[in-house]
Amino acid sequence: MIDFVQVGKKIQVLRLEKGLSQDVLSDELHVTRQALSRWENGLSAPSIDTLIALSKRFGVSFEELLCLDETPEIDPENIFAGHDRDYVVQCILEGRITVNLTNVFYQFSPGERMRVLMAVKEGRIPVPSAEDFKAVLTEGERKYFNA
Amino acid sequence: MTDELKDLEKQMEEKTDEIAKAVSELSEAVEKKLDETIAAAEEELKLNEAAEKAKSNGFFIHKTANGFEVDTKALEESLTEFGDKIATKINTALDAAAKSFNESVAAAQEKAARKKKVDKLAKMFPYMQEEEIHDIAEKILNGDEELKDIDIASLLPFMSPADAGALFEKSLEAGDKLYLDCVPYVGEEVLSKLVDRYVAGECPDLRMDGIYPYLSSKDVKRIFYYELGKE
Repeated sequence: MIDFVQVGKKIQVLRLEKGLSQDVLSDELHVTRQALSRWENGLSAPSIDTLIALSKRFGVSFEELLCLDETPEIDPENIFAGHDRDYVVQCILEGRITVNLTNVFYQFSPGERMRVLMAVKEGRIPVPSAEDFKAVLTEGERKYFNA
Repeated sequence: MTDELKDLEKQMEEKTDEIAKAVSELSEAVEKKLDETIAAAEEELKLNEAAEKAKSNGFFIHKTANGFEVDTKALEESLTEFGDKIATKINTALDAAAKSFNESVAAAQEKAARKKKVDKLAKMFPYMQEEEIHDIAEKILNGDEELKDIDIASLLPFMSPADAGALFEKSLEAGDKLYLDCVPYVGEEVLSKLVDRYVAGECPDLRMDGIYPYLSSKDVKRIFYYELGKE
């Protein structure tokens, strides 16, 4: 899973290091300035061909551009700040990020809550205290968890 | 005697001249009258022919003693007949439109009822047991008619990775864009197997742009090395 918020920040940093405006870089890549802006803000993902072109333009490997081997730094008060939501959820499900689920569960959307709850129920991710954790669940979630 | 004969002869000559002149004038008059009569008859014939032609072209006129008049009776009959034909066509079209409208309304009502049912079902997803979600997933995979209007994207977060994977494979094979919705919920192994096929050149038409964001780091690297190798 790729954290496109971080990838977008990296694209912006590298672009500015090269002294390029969004207009100039987007022209070189044959895309609109708006598309480049969306990438830099983590709102959409560039195509594979564009990423290869960007890595060549910036003189970096695609691994570095995509932040593939980096470990995300998460703020427990706001676990999604500065990161792609799907990426954070996936990292939690895979155990790559450790958070106190009881404290942060409220930050998940309903769909994300269900994915995380499923993983907790299956024992894939731990919770410090099952009782404390149940207290932050909705009635329906509690029924699902207890079933 | 001779003078009397001469006078008489002269008188007879004068009378003969008068008669000849009168006959000539009469002949001229008769001839003129005849010409006029012939012209009038020709004119009459032309008008009759014109009337017949007009009638054959749908003009309701006939010749009377006073000239040409509109044959109102024939015109009325023709208009009535025409009106009847138009009315029949309009009624047929209205019947067909009404039938089509009723069928559309019935179909829309049926669809709305089905949607209401599946929307109600969707609200219960968070409260359902795994087996129940699995049963629904199986029905969707089997193409159950009752669930054809269900918003599968709303069910995906509640599906097991195995069911999401099965749905992913099926929609990918069918060329249904639903596979892109399934990607975040499919297990890593399923996506990894897809990457195996892709780098082996088995999926030439597949665009990985919608899938690579969800691949593991290892698989992302394989895809990119494969693409770089193509250049």
